[in-house]
Amino acid sequence: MKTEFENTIHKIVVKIFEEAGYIFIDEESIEKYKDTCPEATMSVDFKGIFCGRLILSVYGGNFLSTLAANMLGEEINSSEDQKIDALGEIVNLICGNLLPEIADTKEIFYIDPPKKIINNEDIADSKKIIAEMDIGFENGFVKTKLYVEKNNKLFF
Amino acid sequence: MALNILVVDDSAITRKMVIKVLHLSGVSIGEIHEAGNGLEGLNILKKTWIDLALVDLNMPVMNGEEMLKELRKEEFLKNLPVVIVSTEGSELRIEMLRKLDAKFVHKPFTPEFLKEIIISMTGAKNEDGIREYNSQNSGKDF
Repeated sequence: MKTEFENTIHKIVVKIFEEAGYIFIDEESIEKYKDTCPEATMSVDFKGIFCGRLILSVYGGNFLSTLAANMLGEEINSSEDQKIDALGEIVNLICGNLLPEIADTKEIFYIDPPKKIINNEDIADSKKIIAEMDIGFENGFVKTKLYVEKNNKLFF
Repeated sequence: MALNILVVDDSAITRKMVIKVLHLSGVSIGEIHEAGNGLEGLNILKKTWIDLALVDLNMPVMNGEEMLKELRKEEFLKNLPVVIVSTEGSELRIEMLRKLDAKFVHKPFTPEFLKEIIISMTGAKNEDGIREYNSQNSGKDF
């Protein structure tokens, strides 16, 4: 059973993929695509009342192409840069919408530009994972990981 | 009157998405200009007639808040309608932007919502030429 915290992340991730990416939830995809490799992984770092990193990986084969095409509103094949840019914008949207729900709408957070993660780039020892979940969508599934700095009393 | 619009965002795909939503909104649009950060946006504003600027908040080189502060110092730009389009969730930061006479649109947003804000700020017409209402009649704050 999901915690309230995990429910919040689930709600935001689904909302952003549906409203910005026009890709809809389908939990059966997790089982269907569980043996595939990630198409791409993007992260954003944030600073505020707590600091950390949100990481998003997409699996499925043509998840990223569908996402970019939907966001651009074009049928033509998107370039690799456009696909990465599309996922980066999604990560940015999720992070921007998630932090006020976790913290408080009075708190100011500064979100860095999205970065592509290659070869499972290591997370600094100062950060600890506080949530990890897979959510299935029409064309694959999304793995979301949220890390925060260990020295934050809000979480540890 | 068709609006000349400046879209400022460091993400090319986000600029395309905003432009797509602008076209879907039904507001009459003239030229659309794009900039990748606040500094590029200011340079375009100094050379080109723009009726409305849609500006992201978090950008490299010069962010949206800095750009807004800079353009409010310029005599010919101080009354330019500016809409900040961002994921920003802090009420404090949004209030600071409102004090700089900018409206705020939270991402993701619908074409209808963007249209409502643009019309309230500019009195723009639909593409079919029917004026919905102008800024003088609109007391609604976003």
